[in-house]
Amino acid sequence: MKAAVAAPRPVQRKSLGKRMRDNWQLYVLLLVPVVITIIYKYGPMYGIQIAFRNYNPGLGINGSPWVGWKWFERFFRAPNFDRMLWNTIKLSVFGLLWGFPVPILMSLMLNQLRFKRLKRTVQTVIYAPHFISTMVICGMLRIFLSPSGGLINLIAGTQIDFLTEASAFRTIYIASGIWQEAGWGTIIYLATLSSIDPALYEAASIDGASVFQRILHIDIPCLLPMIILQLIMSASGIMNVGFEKAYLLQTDLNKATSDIIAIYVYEQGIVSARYELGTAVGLFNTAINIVLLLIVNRVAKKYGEVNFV
Amino acid sequence: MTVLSRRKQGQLGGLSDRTSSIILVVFSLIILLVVAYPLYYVLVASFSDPYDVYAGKTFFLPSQATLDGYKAVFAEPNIVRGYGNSILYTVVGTFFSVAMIYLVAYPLSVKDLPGKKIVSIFFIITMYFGGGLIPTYLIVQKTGIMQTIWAMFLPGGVAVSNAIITRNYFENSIPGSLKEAASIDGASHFRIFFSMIIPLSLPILSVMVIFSMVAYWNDWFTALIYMTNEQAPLPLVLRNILIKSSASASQASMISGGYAELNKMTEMIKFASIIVAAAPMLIAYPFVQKYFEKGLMAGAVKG
Amino acid sequence: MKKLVSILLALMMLLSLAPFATAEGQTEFLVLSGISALSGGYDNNEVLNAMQEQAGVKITWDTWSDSLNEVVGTRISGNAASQTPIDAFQAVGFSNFDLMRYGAAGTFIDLTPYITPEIMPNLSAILGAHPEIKAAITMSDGKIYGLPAGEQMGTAGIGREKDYSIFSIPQFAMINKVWLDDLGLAMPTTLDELHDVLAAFKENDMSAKIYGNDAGSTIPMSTGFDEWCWGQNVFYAGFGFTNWINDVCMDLTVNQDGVVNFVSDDDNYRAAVTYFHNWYAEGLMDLEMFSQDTNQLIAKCTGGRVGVTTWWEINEIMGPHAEDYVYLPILNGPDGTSNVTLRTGGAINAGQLSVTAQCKDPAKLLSFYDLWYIGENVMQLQYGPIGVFFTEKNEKGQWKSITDEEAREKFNKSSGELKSASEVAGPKLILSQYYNDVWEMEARAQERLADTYDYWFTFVKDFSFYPQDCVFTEAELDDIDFYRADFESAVKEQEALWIKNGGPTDEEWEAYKATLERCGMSTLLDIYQTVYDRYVAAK
Repeated sequence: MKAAVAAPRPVQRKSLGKRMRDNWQLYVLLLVPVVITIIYKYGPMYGIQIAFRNYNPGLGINGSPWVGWKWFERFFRAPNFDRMLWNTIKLSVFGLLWGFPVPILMSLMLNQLRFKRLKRTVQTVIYAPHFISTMVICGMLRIFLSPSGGLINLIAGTQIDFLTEASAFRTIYIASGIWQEAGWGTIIYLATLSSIDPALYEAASIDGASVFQRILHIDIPCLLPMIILQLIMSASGIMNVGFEKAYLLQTDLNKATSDIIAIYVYEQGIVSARYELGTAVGLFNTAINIVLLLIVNRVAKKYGEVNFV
Repeated sequence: MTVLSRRKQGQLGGLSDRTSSIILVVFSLIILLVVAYPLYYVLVASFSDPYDVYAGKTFFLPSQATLDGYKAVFAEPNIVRGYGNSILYTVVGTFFSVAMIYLVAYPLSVKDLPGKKIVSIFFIITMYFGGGLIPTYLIVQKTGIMQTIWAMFLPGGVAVSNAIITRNYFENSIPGSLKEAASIDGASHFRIFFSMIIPLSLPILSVMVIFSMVAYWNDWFTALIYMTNEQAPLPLVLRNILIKSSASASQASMISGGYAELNKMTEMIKFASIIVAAAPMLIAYPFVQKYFEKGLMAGAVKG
Repeated sequence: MKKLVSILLALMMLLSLAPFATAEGQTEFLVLSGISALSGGYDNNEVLNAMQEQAGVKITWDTWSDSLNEVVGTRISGNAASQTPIDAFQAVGFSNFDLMRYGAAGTFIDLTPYITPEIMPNLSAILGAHPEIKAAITMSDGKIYGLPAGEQMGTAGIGREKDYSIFSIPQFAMINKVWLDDLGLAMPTTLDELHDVLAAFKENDMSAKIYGNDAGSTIPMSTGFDEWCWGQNVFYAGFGFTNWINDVCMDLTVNQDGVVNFVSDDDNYRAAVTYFHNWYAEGLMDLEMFSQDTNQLIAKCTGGRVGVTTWWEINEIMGPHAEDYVYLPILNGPDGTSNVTLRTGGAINAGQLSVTAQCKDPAKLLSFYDLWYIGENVMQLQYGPIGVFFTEKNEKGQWKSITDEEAREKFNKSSGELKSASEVAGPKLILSQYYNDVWEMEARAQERLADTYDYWFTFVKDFSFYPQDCVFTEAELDDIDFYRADFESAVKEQEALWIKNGGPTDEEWEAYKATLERCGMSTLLDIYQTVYDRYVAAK
């Protein structure tokens, strides 16, 4: 560290123009991303209008007839709208409740593991499920849950067809989701934890802190900003329950819990390739997501000093 | 190591290090088992007769062991080219993505940058609103990048959520004292960015590399829409193999017959292609993982 | 001499300019086509190349076997601005709705002016002889936006008097004869008798007893749920209907008086689900029937665990045990009667070939497609070239297809694989008469048709079925679009719940009917009735 300390600068608010000129290099850095975003992300945005038109690819988007709220009305008047909406929300919220802490706990645990070989092995293994496609996972679930010789029934000694029990659907969906994604989720947390100065651990153990206390006083505060950020991002994606997994696990008997918005949109669009309903529903989902984002962001800013926007 | 072994046990209460260690190991092994078993199952299934798999006979060992699934996958002449294309797209795409992420994350992490909030919102909007497939396609067509490698990553733009994570990492995990020291020394933003931020952010950099790598490696849809058959990456080639041997129980296929046989082949290929597609990623990962473990801060603060 | 040379040179130059002389001189076309993933590609297909030569065109094929909808959507919207516009879309499978909106937008051209004896002699002849085909491809605005295609494989093709599609009865029920004989039981003729037989199968654990499988592995009856050729619907015949999945709308029937009806709200439907709940509760119907897929069903059947099932035919699903199974006849219900309602099939559609507005010389391109409407050509497009798939003519003058042994000997593939490798997707119109006049139907299909006509039809009293090639107006299609998916879904869901948990009480039944109303059942019924009446009147 330099011995001489610089003289204190006079406190003075620079003008906006001056600040901008001072930081010109930062604007240069931003140039390319901004241009690409304008061309390829904002350029196509006029396509959102599809939600308000009877889109005919032959006429182009601007040439297709305007129908106002027709598609939104159709969506809201769907016979099972209430059920769809609540199933989607519940699947998301419960998934978050159960699934969110798991990567955090696992990364805290792995971080404290002293046996390097074991740590490396566990890390590589828990990432692997992320690479297995949804189709294969659902195929495996069918086999494991089968009442005629499936592993679960064999162990429990029962003969239940779990895929036909509406009450079991959410558990199956969420549990398999955790298996698939929790390991992958530890990556970002482990990376954050690796920025901790090892001297802190040394100091802590000199003071006689146990592993648990080290976690509590060193690891968690370090992770907290990232945790909050991830929480905000998850909250603002609540409505984005994908269709593929639910569709593959759905049977006629569990529709009470498995009927979700994304499947509805898919089935409506099967007859001919129509994009309007999907776009309209997308806008609806986005509206809810944004509201949630703003709420959670404000709360996080206030209490956690972490912000998204 | 010596310091740790001389620690005073239990001075602040809590479990001893020894016990904690044992607990940690036990939990790790349980997790390992629970996660690994289904993976093992996929491996076993890829070597078994699919109808035995569905009859539940392959929980521990392959049944009617066969290499037919793998043979079918590698018999596809495009596999090698698919691998090559995938590697190309992944490398170039990752470089582009990570560069974009950093170019956005750093300026947004600087305090008092005028217009920071506007720029943030500018990018965040694209996370929630998008024009959809057809308008994007038309723009790709108009900008003349169809069937070129540019089409594989430009339309995706900036991975905003990753940029935000990176921005937050810059704000929280790189000590402000370092940044201040640098600007007092008169370093320009470019200098700080290239010589300090990038080297110091290796953990998050490696994470972003992994995220990008995997995303590009698995993407088949972009190639389907914008590229020709010769330019197909591995997942698309595998998908085509799968489709080739999949016979849906449709009306047309029923008449010709052979549904059961074809179906069997599809299932075998399904399992085999998982292994074929995922293996490169799983092999590459440990190399990148090394960067998590370096205690990087040690060097910077003491220097 | 010099003068002669210069005249000759001038002539040569003129002649070489000829191909570029007129704007209508387009002979090279770009066609986007769906393709079977097993096919070897169209560039080297000898049949297609021979036809192109005959018509004097050269086609560049842009083929897709995957995600066709998305690709077509993007290509259509970008075609006007493209450097290399697509001249025609082949084998995409456009619905009438698609055709009408693309036609109205001018994306696809009206083909009527080209279907003339001068430009398309073969097709014009066929349409002249078969006005119903012309009606099926003419949209409600009077124009034709796609060439006709269809598979009319039916009983007339094997020489029977009346022509019914091979899809008329999709589910063939089968039962294990060896098990029956072993227990000394007679072939059931009523549902109640089958019930007792199934109970006996289960009690005596026939799968373990006869085939040596694990104890308790017997599944008396295993099918899918409401699946087209592997569902439980054939057993509903005892209650007066068989509501198998068809391509128009679920549960839609029409009787000989021309009255269209949905069986979903009939009392005999209610009786059926109530009856079968008992079977399910007693474990006679597979617990997994609502969730299993074909893989699981085939695994169980080839493993010899199942006593009764349904499928397109016996051999394929039973594998090594096929010899032990025989057809299970249609069973009478509790009131002693049965009725089988036929399924639609063999429809004509217009979604296999449409020409875009960007094509500069449609007449030339269509003259190529006209060759598809010659019997011998479409035969080769469907199966493979003469000399490869077709060997020689038999006494009746029909082309004979290669047998499995010959195929393996000559080409090292099964005949099925040979077919898959050479088949071309597109506007193939396979008329029923071709199976009589041009080529011999494949043996498997012949067998199935014979069984359908000679055996299964003996149980059918009313041969009416809702036709598949009716033409709807745009408004009607819009309504159907809105209601149909929800309606079918609601019916299916409730059916499953009742079979599993028990038939409905009176209140539940009324509530169910109200739900169906909300899903637009009356509106759908009106539409289907109107369209049917229109179809019949036009004949």
